[in-house]
Amino acid sequence: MSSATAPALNTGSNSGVTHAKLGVWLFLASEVMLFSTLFTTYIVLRTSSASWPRGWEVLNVPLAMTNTFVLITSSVTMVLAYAAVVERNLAGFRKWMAATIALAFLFLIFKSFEYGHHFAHNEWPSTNIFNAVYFTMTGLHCIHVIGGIIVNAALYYLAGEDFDHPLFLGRVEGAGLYWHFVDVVWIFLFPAIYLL
Amino acid sequence: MSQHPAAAAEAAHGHPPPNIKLYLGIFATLLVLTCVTVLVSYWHLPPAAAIFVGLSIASIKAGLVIAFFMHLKGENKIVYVFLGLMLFTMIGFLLIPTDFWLLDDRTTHTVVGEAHGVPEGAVHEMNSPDAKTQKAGEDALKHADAPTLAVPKKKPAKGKAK
Repeated sequence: MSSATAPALNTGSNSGVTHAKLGVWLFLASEVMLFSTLFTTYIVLRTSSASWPRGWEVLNVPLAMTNTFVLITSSVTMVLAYAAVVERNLAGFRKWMAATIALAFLFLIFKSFEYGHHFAHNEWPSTNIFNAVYFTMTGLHCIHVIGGIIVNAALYYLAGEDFDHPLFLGRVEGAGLYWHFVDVVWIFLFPAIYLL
Repeated sequence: MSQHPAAAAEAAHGHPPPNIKLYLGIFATLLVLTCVTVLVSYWHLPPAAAIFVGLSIASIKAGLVIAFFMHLKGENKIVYVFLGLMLFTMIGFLLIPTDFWLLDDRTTHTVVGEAHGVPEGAVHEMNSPDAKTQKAGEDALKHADAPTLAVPKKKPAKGKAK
């Protein structure tokens, strides 16, 4: 096409956005649908329940706040990894992507402390509706974090061979979009569940 | 800082050019806003105010991440079209609870409560945003449940209704 670096690959599209990026945005739109139905369920259950604990009474707010910092920082390292690919800096990409993956693991470790504390006190998703909402929403978010780790680790591994591939930047950009989305979900989950 | 020739070339292919100073500025703002949300939550504001403050700050944070980290600012129009459709559907989902609020006094729950001898309005009081009223509703429920559940054979309420 018009691209000098990728003459044989149709990386563009008639819409002006690469197919991959448009696909990721559509996927994220479907993810928003998934999470907004859960938020709706949360609102309906909470407003129609006879009683509902305040988040800070039953959950560990300082730990969740630390996790918020961890996830926001990982979003920054992700965007710095993207910047490194744009600047054709393999070492920089490896450094920032490794930091992103490490922070994602740190998030899961803190989360497992939190879950472990609940389980130790015999609090399960089936214990009450609050726990059902709490575990479903944060659990689904954790699954997304795990998914992000897998994608990011794959890109870290593939960078050795594919760093100069014309599609590599688009892949990192797509993975970044997904990772920032995971951050955005947490940005809403944190106040909605822990602080209200 | 990040205006390498490579960056400019890639930008031409639809990949946004990075701006590291901007990213770090957004990072600092996000950290500050997170602290603000948590600090405000310690004031234990009334629910309506707490929801307003909490969700407003969360929306600003999410907006910053989406606009600058996800580079939505300056993104191609087609993405806005899809996200507009998404937003429309999302708002539709989030409006579902209004169905409950528009039903006066949450009819179904009051009926369930009455079957157990709960005084009229007790369930409604418990859902009140006012903590004192909630407590009154819970107390009413406690007192009401014990005798009714102890003698389940008598069903005066149903008989009267017929």
